[in-house]
Amino acid sequence: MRNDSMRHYWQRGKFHLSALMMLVPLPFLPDYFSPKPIFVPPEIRRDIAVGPFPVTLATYDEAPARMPTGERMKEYRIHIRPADIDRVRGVFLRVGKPRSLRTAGALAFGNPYEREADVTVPDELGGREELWVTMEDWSGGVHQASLPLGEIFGGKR
Amino acid sequence: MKTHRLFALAGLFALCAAGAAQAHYPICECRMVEGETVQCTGGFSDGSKAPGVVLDVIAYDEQVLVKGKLGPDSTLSFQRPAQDFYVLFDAGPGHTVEIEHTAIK
Repeated sequence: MRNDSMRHYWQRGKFHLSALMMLVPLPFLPDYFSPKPIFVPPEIRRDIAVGPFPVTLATYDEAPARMPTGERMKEYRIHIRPADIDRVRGVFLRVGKPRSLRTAGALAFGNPYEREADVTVPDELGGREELWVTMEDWSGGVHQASLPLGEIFGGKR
Repeated sequence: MKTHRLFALAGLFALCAAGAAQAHYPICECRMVEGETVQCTGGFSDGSKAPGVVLDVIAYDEQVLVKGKLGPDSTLSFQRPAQDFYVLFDAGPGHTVEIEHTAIK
């Protein structure tokens, strides 16, 4: 008898219950629309002025990846001011001072607002290496700046 | 109906198969062969060879000692210079490999 009334309530109520399920995402909406990231990646950022161009370098806080071909590589992302994007022809990254423009290092590619470069890292680091940023503008000007590699390396040292 | 499901499956597969894009990068290896001859082999990380790609041997004072190009077998041989030098495998701006003379054995 009692079983019957329970079943009756269930049959009547399940439709409304499913409607209530639509409300479940509501508490998450403010986070969803807020500009702050929900998952903050553990990354390192450094600001550096390369000639007339202020840029931000970012990399994940992790050790360089060992590629199948043997070398160690680390990915860096380069943020340029939107106003400078049309003025910058190329951004190169290298561990150690480039000897010439030919050896400026890895060319950053991809999204112009967040270019990325896979930089070869020497197997053995003495701890005093520098990461050199070379930027070439469309008028042929070359600008360089460097920062200690240890500041923007990440991973366990 | 059946084709729709097939298309959906194919689309799902395409989405999953699209992994992180990894740029292919140049690789180069130099070693000593028979006496004072250095042999360098160039290529790309996707396994392709690099015949005709520039490989220069440059002294530390930036004087170009050997101006070469990789042969059809993707290698180049040259006499080991007496002075300090580095090998520059140059597949274009940003696609270079430098090998110090101390690393060539």
